[in-house]
Amino acid sequence: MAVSKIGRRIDGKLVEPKRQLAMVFDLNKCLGCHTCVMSCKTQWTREGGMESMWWTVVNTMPGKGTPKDWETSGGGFLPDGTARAGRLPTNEEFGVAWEFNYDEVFHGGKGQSVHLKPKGDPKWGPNWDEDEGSGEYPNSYYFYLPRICNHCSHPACVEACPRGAIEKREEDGVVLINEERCKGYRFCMEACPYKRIYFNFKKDVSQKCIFCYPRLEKGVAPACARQCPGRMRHVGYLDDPNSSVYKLVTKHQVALPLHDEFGTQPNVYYIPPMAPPKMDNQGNPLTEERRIPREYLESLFGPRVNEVLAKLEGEMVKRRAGERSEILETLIVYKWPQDIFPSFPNDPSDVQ
Amino acid sequence: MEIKVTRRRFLEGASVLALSLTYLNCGGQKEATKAVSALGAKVKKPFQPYGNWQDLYREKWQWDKVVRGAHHVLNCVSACPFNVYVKDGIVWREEQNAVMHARNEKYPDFNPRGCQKGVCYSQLMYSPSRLQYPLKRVGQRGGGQWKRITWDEALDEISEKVIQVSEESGPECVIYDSGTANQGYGSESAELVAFDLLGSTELDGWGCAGDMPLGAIMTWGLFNMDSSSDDYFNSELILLWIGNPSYTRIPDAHFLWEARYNGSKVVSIAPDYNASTMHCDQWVNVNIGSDAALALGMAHTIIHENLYRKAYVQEQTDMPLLVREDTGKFLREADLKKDGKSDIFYLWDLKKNKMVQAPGGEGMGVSATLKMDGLDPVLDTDGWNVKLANGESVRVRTVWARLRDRLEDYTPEKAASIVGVSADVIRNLGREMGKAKATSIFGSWGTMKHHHSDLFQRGMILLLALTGSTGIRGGGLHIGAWYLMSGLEKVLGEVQPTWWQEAILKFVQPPVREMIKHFRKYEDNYMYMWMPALLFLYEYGGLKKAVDNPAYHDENPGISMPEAVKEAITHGSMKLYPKPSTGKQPRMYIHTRVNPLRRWPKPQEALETLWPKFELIVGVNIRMSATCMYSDIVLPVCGNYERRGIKYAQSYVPYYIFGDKVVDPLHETKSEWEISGLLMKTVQEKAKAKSLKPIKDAIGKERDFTKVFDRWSKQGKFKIEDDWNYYEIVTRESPEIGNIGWDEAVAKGANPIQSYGPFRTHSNICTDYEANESVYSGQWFTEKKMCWPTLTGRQQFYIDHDWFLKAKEELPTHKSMPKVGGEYPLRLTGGHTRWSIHSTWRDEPHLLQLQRGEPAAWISREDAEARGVQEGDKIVVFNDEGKTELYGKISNAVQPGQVIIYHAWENYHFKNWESNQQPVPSVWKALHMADYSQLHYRFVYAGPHHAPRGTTVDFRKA
Repeated sequence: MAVSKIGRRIDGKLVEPKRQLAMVFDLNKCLGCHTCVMSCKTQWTREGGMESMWWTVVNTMPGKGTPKDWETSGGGFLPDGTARAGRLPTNEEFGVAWEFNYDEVFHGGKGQSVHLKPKGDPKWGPNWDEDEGSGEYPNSYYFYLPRICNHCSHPACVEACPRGAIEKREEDGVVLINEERCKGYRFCMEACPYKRIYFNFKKDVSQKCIFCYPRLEKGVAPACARQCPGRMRHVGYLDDPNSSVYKLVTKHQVALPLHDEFGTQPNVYYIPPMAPPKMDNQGNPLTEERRIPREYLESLFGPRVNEVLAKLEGEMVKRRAGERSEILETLIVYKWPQDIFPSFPNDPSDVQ
Repeated sequence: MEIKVTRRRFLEGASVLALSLTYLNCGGQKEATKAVSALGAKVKKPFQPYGNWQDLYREKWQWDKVVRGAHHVLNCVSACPFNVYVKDGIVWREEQNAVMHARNEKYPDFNPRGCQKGVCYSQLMYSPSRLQYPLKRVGQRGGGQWKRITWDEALDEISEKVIQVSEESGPECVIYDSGTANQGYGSESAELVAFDLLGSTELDGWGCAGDMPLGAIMTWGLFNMDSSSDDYFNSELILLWIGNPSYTRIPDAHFLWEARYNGSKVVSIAPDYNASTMHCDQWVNVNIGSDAALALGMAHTIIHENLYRKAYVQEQTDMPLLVREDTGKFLREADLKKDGKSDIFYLWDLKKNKMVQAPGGEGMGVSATLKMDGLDPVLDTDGWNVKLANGESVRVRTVWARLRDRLEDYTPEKAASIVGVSADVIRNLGREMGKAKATSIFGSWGTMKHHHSDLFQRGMILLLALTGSTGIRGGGLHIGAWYLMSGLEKVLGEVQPTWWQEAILKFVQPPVREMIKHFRKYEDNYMYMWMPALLFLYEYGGLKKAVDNPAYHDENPGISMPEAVKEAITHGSMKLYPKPSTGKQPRMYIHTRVNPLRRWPKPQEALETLWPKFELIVGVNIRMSATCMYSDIVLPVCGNYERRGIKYAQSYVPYYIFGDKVVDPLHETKSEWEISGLLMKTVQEKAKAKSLKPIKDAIGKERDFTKVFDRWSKQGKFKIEDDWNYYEIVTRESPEIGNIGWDEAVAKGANPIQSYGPFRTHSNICTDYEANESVYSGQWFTEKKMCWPTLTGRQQFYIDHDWFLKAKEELPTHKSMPKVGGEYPLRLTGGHTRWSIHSTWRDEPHLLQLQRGEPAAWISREDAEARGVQEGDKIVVFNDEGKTELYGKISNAVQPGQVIIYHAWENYHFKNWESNQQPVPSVWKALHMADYSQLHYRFVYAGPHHAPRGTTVDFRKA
């Protein structure tokens, strides 16, 4: 059993789930539109204490993300399996829910001397560096990285919780914080290397993505996935050979975990981003080098990313020549919802 | 009975359960079995097995009812059906009603349409900017001091003013502005009828929004064309040309990226690396404003390398038509014969080896088609002499020969120096397009907002014509097009077709050109008070100074702006009310569901010049817009979930979307239907009370205010309190949805299209509808050989109008951007933001939190460094016309020299309310005032248009 960084004995028991649910995010279809983000917001995190929470976020990469600098804030495990020190992000780094002076502007009688703006002087928010990216023009680059709780197979949060308040559900591997047991110590927030756990100051509990388990239980896909107009969030059981998740992760191995080196064995996988080729200052394509630097992609998705991108590009060449490709046909999603979340095809309006 | 299981309750419950089991074990009472769900007995509410703090979230995911909803009164081009979940009488949330099928197994389906705005309409509905009661200004305009008034007080004051102004100065001094927002298919349209009846001046905001595809109008005589989104699967090549569909077509963009997976090549042509470029196979990073040169360079390659589709060019375009070398005008029948027509044209037939009349000319009448009947028109020629009726001999050449001359200025090498990419890039793109079986160009309303956008668009359409891509599956220009509903004419039309006309229409498809003539006649008779909003601002809104400034125009504009305006007004091709010759001034302004001060160029001018003319300004809106802030009376409208509605149907998705009333109108809000009905009723009552005589309108027709309500309500057929009847007639009388009637239509929410119906003024798809196939536009012309609604009946690249000839824009060409704004080094671009639909949602707090909470400009690292601007700084963007302060987001994706401000921030988002429109005078092109067959003003067609892009600016650290 791993030991947390502060040497506290681990209280929570690690359950080996019978099945594991996973999501695959196809970054080549993500629009950066945040429909997932708003769907989740209206579904779960509107009430008092949850205003600042965004259980799913979409980060412009490269970027500092949500919370700011999450990638370098520690947590997870070292290669030897011991805990890696983590940092508790501040509220400002997550981005507090700004309040606006609507009443003052609309009804305050102050005319043009006041204008609508967030109270305080915010310096960061959940999408502060949207569409900024990196690279030197015209070799600019960025892409969108949607993130949720990874519902890891080796969840650092579970191990870090001195209360044993975090469980991995036996039936589907969904990681849940038991809000009745949680005492608000926030070790989980330090331990999560993806920094996808928020703190509810009203209830004094940690809260995070619950993979929409009440929806799953009724055969309905999570809100972020079912409401995604880009049709880029595949949901399924890793052991279900009919699921697109299985095809992409296991069969064709074109979906990769994010920051695998964090050691938590995440269950969210990504189809890595292609991008138009790099070019010279006359717009001539340079095919030898990728626009998104190889080292950067490897730092996110590991060394296999090159092989996966080459495979996807190879499949696209085949497809252009009129051949079939199971990988591309899976990514296209001809029939929604069957082709994208086969175990959860129900419409919520039919299940109650 | 519902039982909430708290921990304590549970412990009690558990002991009860234990007790019950004991009872059972001893063969206890029947009552006990009922309570024990675990044993399979039927109970109303099964006992939840414990574990179960998890019930917390299960209980959150509950609702009382689900109602079909839609976001119908919004100027959004996506039609998305929703299910609205209601809890305790409050709209809790919404989720897509994803029931749309794929056309066939080749294509993906259309689910689940929607976007981050649509999925939080429920938040907007209850947001702090929502208007709740009628308000009356106290203190200064824009001062933000209000008093709550009753509906009766508001209606009285407004009606009295309408009557007073109309009686004293004429009804045209009442200005009604619905922008482009209220022209939906739902009962809000009754408002247009109301102001038609009052004889008010009606501002046509289409061109004023910059959504006028003038290049398409000049070339095709059609103002919008588009396909269904799945048709991208048939495109071998897709060019995203000045457009960012990942931002602006969120529900449809997946088809593009899926088509790419399916084998289409997708190319982004844009100065900046944007959210759509990232998913493309190639990025052509053109200089801002060089798009026409790129198109012409590609066209040069396509012709030079013999990659064009000759038969298509001969049949569908004006390329074989003969042009006189002496005048530059088409050779017309009138040139050759005494009493000949001026709208019959000629070509040289190689088969018969003689000059013959070219099929298609407007003068050939109703039965004209583009059928070639064995003709083989010459394209390449050095010309020859033709003897005219007056005895003169003139040399003629084909349009094609002239085009080839013109294109010599745009060899890929020459074009490269303008475009900023290599000749190889241009040549290769031209070759790829020449070789592709079908090319689609996504070039929507974003392509129309430059001063020379018409030239960009004519270039794009030329490429599509050379490659035979317009009017084929998988090809064409994707601007945006609508499916209409015939039933609308039954409730809104002033005259109805007779039974025999209707019977004929069932079997005969009238030519598009004839239908347009019919609409023009109708508009002349019943909609003559509509006029281009920009022209109104030019005359009355202080825009004249900037728009007339010759420094803001091309060095060879063909005609000066003051002359062009004078000509257009004198000849009546453009309308302007109140007529300047009368000396009348506008006196009252009613804006409904629109936000002119947010959208108009240089709103500071309107506030200074126009506002003082208005004795009463009335805003009708769901939310407190900037324009409402500057109004005298503000009337609150109910939102989309608080009334029935029909979303205008877009070609992208072959479904009509209906929304029901989900909850009662919030607070004291009322629907547009009710408001316009009440207004008409009040006006009629007051007119009767004072025995008001009929009033002469701007053209001398009489308007009887004592009968306006009777006419609005169709003599009592429509009731103010309930618009069900309106919806029933519209749905019952629309074969497009199979005449199913309202209850059935709204029960499904999304209803598949059954037929396209005849051509109507809004709809330019012009293709027979096939239920199991994708929709592409223009099939009537390419397959049925119907004439294009242009002078020549063809896709017309040659405009032989004097002004065009003088400006050397008779053929597609490139012109450099004028320095509108003054001598400044940077160019302002922008576009629709992903975060709002115009100003709706712009102030929604959740969405603002996903931005920076305040306006921002994207600037390049190079320009930021040169001006000492650092990350997190605010900047002032300025030019000779105005200034605005916002965040400077330093982005590597921005082309040096470019400043991007995405649109629709409210004036009150900015310090001193100096919005991003302040430095934008939006100088349109004088040529657009021309009157030339297909180029003329009609309702939502042609006319001057908003051109904010390419404005010269600079910025400094705030």
